[in-house]
Amino acid sequence: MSLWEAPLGGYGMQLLLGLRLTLQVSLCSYTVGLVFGLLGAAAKLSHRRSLRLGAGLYTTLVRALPELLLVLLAFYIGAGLAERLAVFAGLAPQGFSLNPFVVAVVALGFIQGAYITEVLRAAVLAIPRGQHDAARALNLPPLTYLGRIVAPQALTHALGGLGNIWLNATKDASLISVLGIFSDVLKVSSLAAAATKHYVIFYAVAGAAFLIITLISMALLEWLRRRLMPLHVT
Amino acid sequence: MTPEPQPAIEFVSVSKSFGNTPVLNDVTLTIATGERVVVCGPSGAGKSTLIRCINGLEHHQRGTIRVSGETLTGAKHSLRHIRNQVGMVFQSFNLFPHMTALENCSIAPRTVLGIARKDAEARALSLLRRVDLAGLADRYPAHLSGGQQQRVAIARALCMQPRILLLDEPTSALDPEMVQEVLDTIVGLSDSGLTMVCVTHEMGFARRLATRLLFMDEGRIVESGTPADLFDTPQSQRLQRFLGQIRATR
Repeated sequence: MSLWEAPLGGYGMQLLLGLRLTLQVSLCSYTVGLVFGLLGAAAKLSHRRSLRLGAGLYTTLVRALPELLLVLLAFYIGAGLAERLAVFAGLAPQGFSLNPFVVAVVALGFIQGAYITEVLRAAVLAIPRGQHDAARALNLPPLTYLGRIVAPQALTHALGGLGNIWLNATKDASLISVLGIFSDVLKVSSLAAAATKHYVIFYAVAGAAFLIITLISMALLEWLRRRLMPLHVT
Repeated sequence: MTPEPQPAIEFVSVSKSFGNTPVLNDVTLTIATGERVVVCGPSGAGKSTLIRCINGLEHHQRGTIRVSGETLTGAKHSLRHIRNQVGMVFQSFNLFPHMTALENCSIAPRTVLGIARKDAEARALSLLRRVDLAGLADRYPAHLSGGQQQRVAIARALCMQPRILLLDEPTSALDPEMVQEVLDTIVGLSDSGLTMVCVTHEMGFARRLATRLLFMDEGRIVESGTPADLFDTPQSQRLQRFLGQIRATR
């Protein structure tokens, strides 16, 4: 630890823990976002008008409002409402309060889900109509069509967009630092910077942390892209 | 007297319109089992719509369509029953780009007919051999020429052992030098007893393949007869003009 603690004034360990929290929030919120995105895209592509309208309202509102505002709304209004609702429905005991990590993950996932909805919808619509014709002419069962024809092709179309949203998710994870209850990597850096007056060093360290996350993510995404797309190699 | 064998395809007063534009106008047509019918006509004549109505890819609005005696309704079981007997080859091939030629051919037998993977692949391979592509079974469509892709599509349709094969302008999307290999492949199926309905502008091919030629214009069947009759002694002015235009471009 001495190698870390000496140059960073004893903040090395805290910064590493902050980085771990940032990654946990990113991964969990992105997973939640994928669920929201899948549901949203399915609703947008549905034959039912009510589902399309509901999904349209979701993506429009979430994409219109600043993410910071949405996070604040989730913490100061949404979480309270959910807690009361859970108590009212008899699902939780009196005085129940949600774990802040869960609130953060669901709120951020809800935001990412709106963008993922649009990426997945566009990816499905990018599949040529002829694929549907061929599947129908061959009598492929609907689930086979979705799983074996639509999903793999949509994934190749969506991968770029999903990668972008993942990179944003890692940065959005730092939005929770404004809430004062999380010690994510950005929060630790700003506390350390304020306490030691070494602003340049600590903010540079925070920046470097995000840069490293991004570089590793990009390498993984590229690897994934190559694995998924043997068909486009000419 | 022997009873009339059941016709493969019957249209009785079939009409269909897109919005206010009629595309099929009171079409009545009987195609006997084993017939090889070529449909020609100017673009917008309703040829593709006609052929796509046979397996329910398009829905007709009026009249009755029967395929192998089964009346085509919107109901799932009727569509499933009919599509299991009708194979289709498309203008733009519509192969599944993320599957090899072999997988393209074996997915329907496996998932629709429930045939074991090994047997489905053996069937796929034998049909790929029939269209002269056994050596390319492991290639993805992107690594095949247009002509090869269309021959895979023919094999894919045949893997479901259809009684009727629909071909919707099978060579229109191909480079000129690849047209012949696909046409030869289709003509090679002539002796298999398959009932075929093919939309095409290739007149030499129509002569080789067809037992009957239909000329369509404005959603109606204008003339019907042997290729020799229609090509050599066209009755209607509309067909004479159409043939004149086609010949002028060759």
